[in-house]
Amino acid sequence: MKPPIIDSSPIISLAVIGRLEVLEELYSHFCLPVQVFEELQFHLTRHISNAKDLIEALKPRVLILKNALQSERTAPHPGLGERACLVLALETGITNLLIRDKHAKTYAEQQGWFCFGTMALLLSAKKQGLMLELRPYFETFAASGRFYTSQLLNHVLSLAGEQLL
Amino acid sequence: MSDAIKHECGLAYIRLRKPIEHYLSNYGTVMYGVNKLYLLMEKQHNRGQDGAGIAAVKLNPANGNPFLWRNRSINNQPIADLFAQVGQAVGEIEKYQPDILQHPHVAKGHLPFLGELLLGHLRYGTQGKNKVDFCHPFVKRDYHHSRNLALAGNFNLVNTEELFDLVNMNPGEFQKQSDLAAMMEVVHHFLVKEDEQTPGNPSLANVLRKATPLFDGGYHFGGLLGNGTSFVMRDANGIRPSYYYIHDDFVVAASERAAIRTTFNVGENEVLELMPGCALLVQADGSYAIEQILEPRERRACSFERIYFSRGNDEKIYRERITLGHKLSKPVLEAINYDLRNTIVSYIPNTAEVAYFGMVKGMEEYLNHIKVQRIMSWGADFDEEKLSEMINRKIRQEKIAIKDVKMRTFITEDVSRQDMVQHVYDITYGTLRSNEDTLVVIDDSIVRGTTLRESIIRMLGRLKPKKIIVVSSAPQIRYPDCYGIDMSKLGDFIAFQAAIELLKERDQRAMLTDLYRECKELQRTSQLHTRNVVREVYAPFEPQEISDKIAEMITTPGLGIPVQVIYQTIEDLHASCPTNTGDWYFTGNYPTPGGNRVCNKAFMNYMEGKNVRGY
Repeated sequence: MKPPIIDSSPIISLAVIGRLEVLEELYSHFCLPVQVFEELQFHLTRHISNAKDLIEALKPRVLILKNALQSERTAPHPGLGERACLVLALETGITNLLIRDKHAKTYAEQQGWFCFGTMALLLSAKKQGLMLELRPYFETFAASGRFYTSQLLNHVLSLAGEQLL
Repeated sequence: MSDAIKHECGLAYIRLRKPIEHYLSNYGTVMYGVNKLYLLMEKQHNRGQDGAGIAAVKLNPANGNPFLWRNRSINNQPIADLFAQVGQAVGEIEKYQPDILQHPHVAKGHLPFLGELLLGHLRYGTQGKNKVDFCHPFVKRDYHHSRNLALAGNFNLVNTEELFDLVNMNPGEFQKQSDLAAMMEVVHHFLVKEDEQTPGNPSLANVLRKATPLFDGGYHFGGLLGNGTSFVMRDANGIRPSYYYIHDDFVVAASERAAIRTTFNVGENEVLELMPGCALLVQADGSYAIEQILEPRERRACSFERIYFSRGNDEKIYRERITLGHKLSKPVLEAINYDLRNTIVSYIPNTAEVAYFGMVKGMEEYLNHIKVQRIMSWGADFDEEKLSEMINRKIRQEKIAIKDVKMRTFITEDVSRQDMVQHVYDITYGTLRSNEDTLVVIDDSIVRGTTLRESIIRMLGRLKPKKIIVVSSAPQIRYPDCYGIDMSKLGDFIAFQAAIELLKERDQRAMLTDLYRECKELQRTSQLHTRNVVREVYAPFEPQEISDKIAEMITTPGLGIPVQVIYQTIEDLHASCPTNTGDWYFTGNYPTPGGNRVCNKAFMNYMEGKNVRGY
């Protein structure tokens, strides 16, 4: 898979389970727009103890939009981070997006781009042997108050061949 | 109030019934719920300043988003601290997305506490240490959305150990010290069972019907579930207060009616009392119901709420405090032998002020009656001067006592320390005629009598009144509380100390040992809850005898001024506060079995020299 553009939510989820390095291992050239980076600085410092190190590690991945002003017309979305991901895709021609937001996904799919989410990424990580089991990470999601429907978690666990919740 | 009994906790609950964008378009801000929660808590800050906590649940979260937020603080100004943190988060996000508050969905996704279900708590710790970990709400997280639970309340349970046993849980050190931890385990235990029956949509009413009969205590508690349902519930005796208000856009509940009225600018009769044993249940779709969860028992709403705890700006509480004071005017008039010319009346700031107004009203009524009688008796025999002198007779009122800021006891040497402690209160000089005027001061209650003895009486004595009369708008506090007020040690109460002194004087001390033995026996046979043994300590004495002994005990040595104490009678308390008949701290008549046990335990602790709570 080509290196994707990544929105903040999947990065936060990986940071919460302490496995942000999986991104690097799966997609050595992933990138994120500066607007997502700004969001991350806010959210990571609230959720993660070693946020500073993670923010430093993400810095080299940050791309600045060439024409941020046109973004609202090009990719209408009220969320600045999501909008920036869509505009970055337009500007760079990168058509893989690791993005969760429903509206952003609809827009991207209308453009013929490929969107996937955190669960697909975790399944890939397991397939490639980067994670032995997903269930313990789901426990961490629950403990940290991140929402995933139990149906979704059980679906992923069944795909991963693990015991359901 | 002179003796600082620490306040009990307060609860604030708000459920927004419309999507967040509705509040932006109709109330001008997406922060409507959070702003109102802040106000609702601030308007109840009288109920606890040891700490505060808030929780929020966001409805319909997207996968990957946090949906249940909780923050707690034991900062000096905990409510302000919590909401400053909320404001700080908004400020930080606005730095990179300045218009975020104009986009409700984006704001909801990013901003902590921008949820539809909001729960706030003000803490005074009657149990557990003053650490942030003990602050409510407690949160239990789970994979299953509907099993996530945030819980907070104004309560005290006296059977926490039993509760842990009932759910087969071996509590850790932290849990042992928290009755909310026990409550949480029990509620969550039944929540999981109910969720197994109806996955994703457990019936909260069923959960509460199974959990709450196990609680022994007084409680008003609220909970938020991850699936968007929520509740507020009150104990079967209605010991702790609970009020709610329903609006098309929101449902609100709180410990005090006036707090809801002020926060939402609504009328007296729009805010309803949640009746004993009832729960206010709000579903994920915003519909609500009031359900009788427990059979209501004899109503025993805490009378101390009316005397002192709740804010006096509540319409009914204000009237009741006026009546409490009014009822005392007659015994005061008798005590001063109706000599109003040589009597100054005043109050101990600040909460006794309303009862003071009532007492003065009662005295004015007497004075006006006398004026009319005198004038009538004159017939035509009067002139302008005589009439003017008569109608200008007034109750002599002065602002005598002034409460200063808390004195820091930086001096450890006993003598100097005592000298500092007396300055907690100050007096207004030149307000009375030395050795001529009797000084009457009213206070809400006399718990330990320490401040009266060490500060107030000493300070009042400097004015050299002919006599000092201390009036208490509450009856004698004789028994410990175990339902949320921090009055748990028997030996602390001046009324108990007075009874002990009287027993000693009358050579009846052996009775204490007999009663202690009886308690031990009751404990051995697990019958400690069946009888309030401590009543026997007071049985040999008339209330007046105890009052007189208290007067003696609060008199500063060497004062040289007679001191008298007048207490409210139990009958007049009930006549003044007819809906709040809970009077166990005055009568020993506890509404739940655990009350007798705690009271007897407190007596055993006293006899064994243990300075610990009886629960």
